[in-house]
Amino acid sequence: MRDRSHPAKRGKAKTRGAHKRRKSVNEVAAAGERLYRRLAPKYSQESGKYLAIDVDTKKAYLAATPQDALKLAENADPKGSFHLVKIGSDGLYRVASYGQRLTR
Amino acid sequence: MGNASLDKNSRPTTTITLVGPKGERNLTAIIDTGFDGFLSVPSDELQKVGLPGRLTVTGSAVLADNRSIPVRLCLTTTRLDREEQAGMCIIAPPSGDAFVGMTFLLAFHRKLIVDVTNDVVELVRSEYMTQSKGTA
Repeated sequence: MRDRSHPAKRGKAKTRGAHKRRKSVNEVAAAGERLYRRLAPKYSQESGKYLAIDVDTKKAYLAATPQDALKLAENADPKGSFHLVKIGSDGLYRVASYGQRLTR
Repeated sequence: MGNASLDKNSRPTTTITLVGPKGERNLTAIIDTGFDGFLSVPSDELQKVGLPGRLTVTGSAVLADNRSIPVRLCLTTTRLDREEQAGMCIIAPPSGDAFVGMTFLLAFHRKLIVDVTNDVVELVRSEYMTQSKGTA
């Protein structure tokens, strides 16, 4: 079919679709937390274990350590964006500081 | 034991080697017993060994005031003495300090003994205690 769009715009949609925009840390973490809230009841018996949540495929990978969960997730989707959670905990880690060393 | 000391602010530190795809780098890391993770390293130090790579991995860190903040993470290999262990590393803002946490001590089976009065820190191998059975 003939492309009737403005000459300057021709082919741009295709280019945009070909390159998946890289998500920011905040976007991945927010999407991961949203998915975890939905998944949490399913994993309530696995307290203390770790989930790597693929925020693109929405699949979760369970393991005893965060690095093992990440490896499972990465094997399934080598280009994925993953959010790690510790089941039953408020966060993946606790840091006894007020965040100066983690945010700037 | 020789791999730990107090810094000028009396904080216990140890020297670790970060192993990455582009090489290795020795770092002095503060031993932080208030951090339950493995490792936290400034991004500029990680970049020197080719980390974090292309994956975007996140988690959340709960701070002392119970605020939760998103952090970027990467999988790292770290050497202490001649032993290597893999663990998750928080990618901290550049030009800060590196920290090892309680998961690091657990992974390397080390116990930390701090005697600030005598300027002594020991980071020694810990063996599992065998529980003695009490006699009636």
